[in-house]
Amino acid sequence: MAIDFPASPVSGDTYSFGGRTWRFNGTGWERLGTAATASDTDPGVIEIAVQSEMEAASDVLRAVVPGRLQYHPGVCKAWVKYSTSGGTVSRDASYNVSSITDNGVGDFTHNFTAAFSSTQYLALGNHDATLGATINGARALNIHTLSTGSARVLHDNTGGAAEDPAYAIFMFFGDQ
Amino acid sequence: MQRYAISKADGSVAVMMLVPNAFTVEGLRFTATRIVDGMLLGSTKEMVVTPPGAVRTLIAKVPLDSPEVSYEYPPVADEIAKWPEAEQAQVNYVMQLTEAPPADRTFRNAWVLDGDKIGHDMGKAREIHRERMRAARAPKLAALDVDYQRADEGGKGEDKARIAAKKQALRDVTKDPAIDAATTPEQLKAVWPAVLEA
Repeated sequence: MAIDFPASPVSGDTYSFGGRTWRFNGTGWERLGTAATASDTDPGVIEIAVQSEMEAASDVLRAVVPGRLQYHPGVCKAWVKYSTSGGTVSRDASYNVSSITDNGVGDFTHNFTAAFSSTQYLALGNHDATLGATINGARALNIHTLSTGSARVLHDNTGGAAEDPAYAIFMFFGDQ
Repeated sequence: MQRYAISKADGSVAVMMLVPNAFTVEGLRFTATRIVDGMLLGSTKEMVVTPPGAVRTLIAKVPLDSPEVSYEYPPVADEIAKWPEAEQAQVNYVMQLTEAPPADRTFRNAWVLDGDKIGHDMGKAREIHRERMRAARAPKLAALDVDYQRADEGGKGEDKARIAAKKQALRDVTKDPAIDAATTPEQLKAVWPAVLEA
């Protein structure tokens, strides 16, 4: 009996025959190693976790690679640091943020490159303690709108008036 | 950095800054949906890049501010489409800015589109300035109320008259004709009576 790989495979499909196993990598069938599966105590073959396994966050036998780390529910999905010092709003650093919009004094929208799967996600932020240069100091930080593709946030002073922060940070957690 | 001015139905102007979604270095193009920009832009760090989906090959280290690195940006329409529908419906006009927005944000909420750049609606700017004056004078008026009451209890008529005059001066700051006479944000900002500083 000859090896008979399945027709029309998709990437990740495996095929076993004669005690050997192959996995389709998108272009061809790769033979998997014959070593034992790795465990906490034994060396061996270890699979790479796919997105669903990362999102389930329960597998202890598969390895995490940099390009899939972001699928774990406990990992920050986006973050941004921005500032208004010197007048113009600028993005100092960010991750998974595709744009920042200055809507007005103390009013900013952060768009995500990879959107969240729903609006049930977490936004955490803070801004500098010297918020504003005029009155009242600081410091209320409010979520104006959370949508799957963007988050709009407001910075107020203690008098309840909108005020620009010298700088601010935000982190976003949730499912994408 | 690419910036777009977005005028809205309520008369306000938003400024959207796009974050690069791809870059090209030494003839190789890298798409990156998750660029950690601080490590690619705006710093003097050097980067070592690996062609995506290829055999690992280290490119020569390239200074991040090198002109040899070119960046690509997401379409502005795609970014606006990520906003809630109610906010998308407010968008009237979108235009790429060729020069930076005003560095002074004192009258930020009075920004309007003025040709191909951002200018100021001086009517709105004057109202912002008056609100700022009202906020600045409020604690001073409260303190003078206390002083006046003490002077009244002490029967100090001259003090009462002096305090009353100062309170009136504070009430009059928003009626300063220089506010309406100002034709630029700089002139308007300079209208700040000494009574507000005392």
